[in-house]
Amino acid sequence: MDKLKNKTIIVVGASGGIGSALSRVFYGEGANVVLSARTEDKLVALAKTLGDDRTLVVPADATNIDSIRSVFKIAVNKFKHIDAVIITAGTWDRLSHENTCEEAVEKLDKHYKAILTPTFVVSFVAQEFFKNQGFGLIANISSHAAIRPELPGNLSYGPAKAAARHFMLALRSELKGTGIRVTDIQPAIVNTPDNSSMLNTDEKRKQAVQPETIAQWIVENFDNKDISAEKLFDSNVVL
Amino acid sequence: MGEVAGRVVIVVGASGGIGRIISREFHNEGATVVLVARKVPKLEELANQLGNKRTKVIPTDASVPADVERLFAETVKMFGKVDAVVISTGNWSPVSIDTDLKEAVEQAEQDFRAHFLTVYTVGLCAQRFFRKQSFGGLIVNISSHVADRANLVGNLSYGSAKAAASRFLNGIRFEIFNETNRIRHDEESDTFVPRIRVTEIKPAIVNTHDNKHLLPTKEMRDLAVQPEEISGWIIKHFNDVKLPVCKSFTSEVTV
Repeated sequence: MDKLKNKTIIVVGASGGIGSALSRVFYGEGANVVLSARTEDKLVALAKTLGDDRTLVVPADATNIDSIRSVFKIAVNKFKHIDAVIITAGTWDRLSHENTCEEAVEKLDKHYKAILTPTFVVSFVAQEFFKNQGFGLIANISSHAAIRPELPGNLSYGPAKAAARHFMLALRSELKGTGIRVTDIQPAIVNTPDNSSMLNTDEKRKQAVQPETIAQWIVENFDNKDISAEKLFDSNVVL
Repeated sequence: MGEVAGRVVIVVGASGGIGRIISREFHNEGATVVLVARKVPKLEELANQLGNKRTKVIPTDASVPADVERLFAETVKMFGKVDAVVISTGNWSPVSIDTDLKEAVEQAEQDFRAHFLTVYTVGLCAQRFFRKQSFGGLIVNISSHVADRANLVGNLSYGSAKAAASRFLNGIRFEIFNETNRIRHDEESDTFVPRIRVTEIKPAIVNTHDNKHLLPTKEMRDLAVQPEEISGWIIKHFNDVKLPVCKSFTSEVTV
């Protein structure tokens, strides 16, 4: 139960489906969990269900450099060191070749701001902080859509995730030998409340990727020096 | 003369680098070239150089859907059809872990607009247009070897934008592949051929004017990928019904 005792983890997007489930597992394993997202209410509610002793709520805008820098500053003041940052960003939205060009550009703008910008900004700030500290783990929750062009309706979401994935792999390559580890996690559809309209039966929900499975993998690889560059979580669910 | 004579080709990003050479080579081979970029003077200069026969300058912001739709409409009005669109965008700017954070984020925004949004907008508009044209059409994107390689330093932003564009075009190809009317009967050869074809060119560093500062010696420039190799490949495969989905050009040069 105490696999993450004395570890401090910042979860960006902690109010969302995957982010809150990850936070819960990390907390259960004894970690200090820094809950961050734009809106405070949901974070405060989550912190309450976990317990106040090892949680810290820091609302922030993940597209803003100074805002994310202040999360690290506040977190390190309270917990002395930061071991990992987990980035969860952006919800899925359909876009196919049948959409108009105007709709396409509008959706892309949304996905870019919601997916690529936070991944870029948070990772950049994290590596700047971790470089001074000498160690740290940066994990991005990407999507299997990043590597599967055959998935229909992913013309906007898929490329945004592909860009984020490529960025993470390039970052990992540049940070080789620094003690900073980088991984990109690519789940198929995850069983979260946000996805309930697509996962509309118990069977589908059961077949989907469980957020706890992702959390468990992160826990098990938390100190793994050779953590894999990317990790796919697949599912047989037919939508 | 052969593969592209009589063809109408839109070159997005024709004012500089690879796009300029592609426009010239296509024109030399008898194609009609529509020269597209934001910088009009450079396009006019190129058009004058090529001769005003079979050339047309259409200033366009290729990241704006309405602008791109107008580009296709004007081309058809003038030349009756569009056989292909070639997308060749922007320059490389390094972003590495040592880049100032604010500069890195700004550059990422710029790279996203130049290297991805353009491919996205032109790609989507082009396939919509080609769908309505009985013989379909060809979409060629000049990508980069960094789209598939994450181990090249200084590509945190440019590489990600190129990877996104690549993922987008692969997505388009799959969506088209799943359609029932994706092939047509070609009467001339009495075979079934794909209506819309999509390919990506992934070169290492190319010997262009824009890359002069990265290739300071003649030896380096000779070792780099030559833009004529790229245009030659596209011309050779212009009518290939089994067009490869991607073509790499490697180089021994270390920058």
